[in-house]
Amino acid sequence: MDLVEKRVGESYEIYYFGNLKFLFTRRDGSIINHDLLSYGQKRLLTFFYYLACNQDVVVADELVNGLHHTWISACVQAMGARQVFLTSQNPLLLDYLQFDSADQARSTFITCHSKAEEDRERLLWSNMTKKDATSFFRAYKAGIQHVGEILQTKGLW
Amino acid sequence: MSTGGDLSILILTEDSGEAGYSTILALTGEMLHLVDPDATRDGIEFEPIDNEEARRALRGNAWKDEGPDAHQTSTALARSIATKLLEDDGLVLFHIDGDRRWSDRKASENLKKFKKSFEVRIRQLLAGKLGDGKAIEARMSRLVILAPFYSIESWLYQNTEAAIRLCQKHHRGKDVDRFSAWREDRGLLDEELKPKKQVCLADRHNRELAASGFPAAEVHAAGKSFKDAIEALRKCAHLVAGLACLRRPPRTT
Repeated sequence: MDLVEKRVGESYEIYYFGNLKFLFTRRDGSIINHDLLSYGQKRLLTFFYYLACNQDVVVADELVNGLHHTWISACVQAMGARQVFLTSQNPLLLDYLQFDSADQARSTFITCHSKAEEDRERLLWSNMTKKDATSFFRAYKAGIQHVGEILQTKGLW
Repeated sequence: MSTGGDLSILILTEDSGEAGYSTILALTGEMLHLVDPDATRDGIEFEPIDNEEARRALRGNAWKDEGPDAHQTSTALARSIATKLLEDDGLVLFHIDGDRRWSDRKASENLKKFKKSFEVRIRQLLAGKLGDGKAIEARMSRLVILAPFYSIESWLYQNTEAAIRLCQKHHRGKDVDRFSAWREDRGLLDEELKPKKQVCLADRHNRELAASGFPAAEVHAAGKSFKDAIEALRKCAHLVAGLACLRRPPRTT
């Protein structure tokens, strides 16, 4: 991190830091900076930096894009007890979610559908119905299908 | 029964046409009525729900896929079936065409292939959860194959009243004599090869034939593949017990 500006007043000093750099040691001992990371590695780094700066809430769009599946697991674990808002078109993320009840499943998922209304298309956001949540949780408890599979085969996604 | 007698039935059909699911759903209603005439369908949940996304994700003919995504689609189907069989109230009804005359039913390659190649995969998934033996067989007994010979039209054209009406309305009565002959001897249709190709209706009115006055009792009385399917349903103890829980209370005066 570089000191990019310093302001000095009569009774104070303000220091501005920038040009944050992350350095990584590779298996062969060589050191690279973050510019040389892959697309997925950069996303992973950015997400962990974001988590470090936000202790209570996470908002992330398409979190799993470009991430190795073990990194997705690491991200989900690192989010911990934060209130989390995630969007995903990828079943991989959903497959890491865990549920203890149908009510929890109902409150976890908000699905987005497009619907034609008169001469325009609208996006409708909704939780599952109680019936759908019960059906989902029953299948989830059976322990064979992944979460994404259940949602797809029940027409919930 | 964990939810007060409700049944959750996954219905799968080989027919990939737009009306395939709604047709077999309507026929299922008629068949369940024959199994237990006093049971109401109100407590029965049918899956997949009738929407395009669900039908696309869960195709009943995926077990025969040979394309580049065959492994994914057939595995997804096997896992969906195994999941439903493991659910407390779950049951799977699977329509598979015999693709043979009834009198030649033992030579049905379609059914043999299903049992040999696909049922094995379902058993393996169940074994992973239940171990071996009786528990697996108990769950497998909830998978009921509905096998019309030759095809679903062999059952649907038994609705001769509706078929004749449709034939007169749309095709100038071209095949009325044929439908009349099938009405006079209801055992004939099971012995017809590719009935869909033989008459003007083809599969264009399947949903209507299933849903408007299908003469289930008469078709059952004719024996052959429809009766065989009903008997398979009656042998499913889980279904019979579930329907018994759904009987209407006796009327009091």
